[in-house]
Amino acid sequence: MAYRFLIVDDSSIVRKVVTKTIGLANIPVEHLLEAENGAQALEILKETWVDLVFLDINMPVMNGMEFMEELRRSPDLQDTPVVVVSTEGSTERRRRLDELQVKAYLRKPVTPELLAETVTSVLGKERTI
Amino acid sequence: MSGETVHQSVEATIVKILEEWALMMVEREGETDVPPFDASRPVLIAELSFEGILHGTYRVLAQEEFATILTSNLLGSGEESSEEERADALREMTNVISGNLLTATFGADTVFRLSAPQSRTVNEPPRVSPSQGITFRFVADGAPVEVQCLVEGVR
Repeated sequence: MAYRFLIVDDSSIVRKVVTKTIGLANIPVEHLLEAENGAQALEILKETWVDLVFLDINMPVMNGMEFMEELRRSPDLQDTPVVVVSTEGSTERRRRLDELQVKAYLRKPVTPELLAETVTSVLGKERTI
Repeated sequence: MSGETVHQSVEATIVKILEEWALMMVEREGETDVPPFDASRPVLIAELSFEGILHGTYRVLAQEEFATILTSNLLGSGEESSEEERADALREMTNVISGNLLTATFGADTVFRLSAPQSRTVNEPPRVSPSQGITFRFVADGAPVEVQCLVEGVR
């Protein structure tokens, strides 16, 4: 089984690094989609089903927190699994992200090993549901 | 924390990011003579502002040599990078440094709002006076790089 991922980050370098890391982790990929902000990501998700979203927080137009609020309000998209990859590490923000049911929170800089471990863990859990 | 401890903690955080995330060999000012930026070439600046119990700006300054190595290390390729990719890499480095510095300095219980990082090119880099903030200078993979931490006000 191959997976569909959506990488949401305003940095094209970060999107490339995440893409490369997924490849290095030997995770089977059916499709890798990219968005530069939360608004673009929501548009993509309305059209395309994905297995997992990698989400940055600090982005222009619509940031990661606003994206999560919108996603969880949407009846069609509210169950979409999200892993946050961000520089922001405050406990209050992480608590809010937990309430918004993110699957994992990875603090930048993220090692390829940790990213691979997290993807395997989240997708493994998803497969058993 | 005392001023000196904060200074050391901030410097150590920047060094860790340059070494472990940017995969660079780093020498701090004091350990080595950090050369000035080449005045005949432009300086790339990436910066973002933060707002919380106090507000200010983090700025990273570098020239093409540093930005090229950084981009190559992040992408893991020896391919030639574009000007936009180099600016993007420096913006992301500023983002990573800023988030980590705020947590290292103020702890994880303090919430800050960060702006999206912006970048620009200048011929004459801005200087920071001691009343405005602190500048940290390094040599990373042979190229000078500067991090400026400016505090603009307290809430």
